[in-house]
Amino acid sequence: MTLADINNRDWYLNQQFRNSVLAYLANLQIQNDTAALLAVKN
Amino acid sequence: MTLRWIKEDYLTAASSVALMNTSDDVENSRQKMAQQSKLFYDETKNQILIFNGNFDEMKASINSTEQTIDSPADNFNDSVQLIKSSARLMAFVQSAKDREDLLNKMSAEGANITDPQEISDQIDAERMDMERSLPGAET
Repeated sequence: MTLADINNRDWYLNQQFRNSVLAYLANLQIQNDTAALLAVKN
Repeated sequence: MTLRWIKEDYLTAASSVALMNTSDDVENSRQKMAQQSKLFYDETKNQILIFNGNFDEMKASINSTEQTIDSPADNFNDSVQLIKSSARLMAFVQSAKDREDLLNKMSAEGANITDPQEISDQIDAERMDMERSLPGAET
């Protein structure tokens, strides 16, 4: 395997990792918005 | 803040499209999204129960978690393009440390880190191959 192959794979896995963390952050943001909406409704 | 996330999410999604070469790749991504949606649904239900309808406390807790986790997530950069061997390896080690710190923080905040931990382990496992393939490496 060449360094270029490894760099490509590393980049792809890092993006996957980042997606995974961003998904968690996005969920928090949506929960935040949901909580705010529910608070207004109540 | 939210707009920046949306932009980053878009760029991340757009940049990974080229890497989806087979229907299995697409199916895999689709299943991951479905899984994340279910996790979000379960987590929201749990949070609402935990905070027992006190949405101000729920918001405060969520904001605090976001602040803790947000800044390290901004630190990833395009270090993979570094050519010099020592710099490339140093970037790899630093990236591993950043990932570990981030996962520890998420875990401390009660997040389920199974998925990112698994990916992080896969990245760590590349180290040997990388060292072997760097220019000037002993063979």
